[in-house]
Amino acid sequence: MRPERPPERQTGRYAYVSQPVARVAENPLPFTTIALYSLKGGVGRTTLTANIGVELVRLGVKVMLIDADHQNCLGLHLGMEVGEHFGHARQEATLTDVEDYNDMLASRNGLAVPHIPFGHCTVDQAIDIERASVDDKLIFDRRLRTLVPPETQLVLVDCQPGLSAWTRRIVAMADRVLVVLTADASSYVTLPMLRDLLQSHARGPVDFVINQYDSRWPLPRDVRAALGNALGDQLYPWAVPFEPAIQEAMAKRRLLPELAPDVQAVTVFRNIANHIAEQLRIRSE
Amino acid sequence: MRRTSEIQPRDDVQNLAQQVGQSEFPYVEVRVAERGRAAATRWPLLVSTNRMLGMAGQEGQPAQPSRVRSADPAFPAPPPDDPQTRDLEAALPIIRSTRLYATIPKEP
Repeated sequence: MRPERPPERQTGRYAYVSQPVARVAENPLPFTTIALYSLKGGVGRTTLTANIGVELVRLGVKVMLIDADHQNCLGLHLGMEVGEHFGHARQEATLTDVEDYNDMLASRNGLAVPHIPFGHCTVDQAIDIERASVDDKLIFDRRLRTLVPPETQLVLVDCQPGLSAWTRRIVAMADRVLVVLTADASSYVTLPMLRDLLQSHARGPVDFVINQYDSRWPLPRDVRAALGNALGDQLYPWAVPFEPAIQEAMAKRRLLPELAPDVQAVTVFRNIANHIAEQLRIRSE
Repeated sequence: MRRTSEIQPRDDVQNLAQQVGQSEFPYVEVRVAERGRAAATRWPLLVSTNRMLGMAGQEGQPAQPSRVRSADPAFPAPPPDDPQTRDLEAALPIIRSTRLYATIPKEP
């Protein structure tokens, strides 16, 4: 039997390609992973991830949010400062770095929502990650194993939109996929391609949620009804209402439940968080 | 900014559920298929997408209602003696058969 090679140091271009990956796949991750995904951009996926994460923390779930989008915006909802460059894009990042980063945010901001930003990433680095993802099925799996604390119960991953190899790897390794849609025609027309992608990649159940829903107009109402017909039980019964306070909370560097605790969106985020916790049988201790 | 926080339907439902001795009602969407099909037929792009999804079986509905003007209440058909429609229809063969030439002035 060939002796197992020690992991090579990740340096230079295409560093992720050369990792020994075969043994990693045999062991399931010790936590549940949900990928928040959409084919279309601008549907509020990051905002949804952050706010569901806030409610899960309030429920007592040991959750870790991971930004898998090069825009690196998830942390901005959760207390990260503009210009803070820490993230898992840095290949040498360790679990200790993640814990130090979250401890620092907790001491600075009060309520801590543990998360790992994508980090600062140049165009060349983004291209490297994409190229590496083509060959390496476990590129994201390995990052989770390295960077997520072992006591974590649930990981929410804020994916990039689209069909990049990097995103497909995440969708393929997640236990569940939560697809974020807006109630408009441009989200609806993505359904055929979404069906193809999810049939070929998703290995667990797929749910759908409508975000930025404005019931004053006929088109969103009709699209919501049509989505209900097309998706059946996979569509969450709650739609997150269009709510300016959500964006205002981010601009004011505050969490939505602190800034506007009585808006309907907070109730909906809470319902979704409750539903996810029930679905996964995750109870707070 | 629209605020609906004063309305708390979940509390109403919970109170009702407690009165009849249940912890909560399961959420059941009624007539999903009928409402979804009817909603989709009002928007041509949704109908096209449903066709790609293999959900086209909507008997008695025009495929693209807004293109069939008389079928869409939002775009009622013009009356048969509408002068603008009549004049335009009369002019169409002439417009189609007319060849347009651009004259480029010669340089002196």
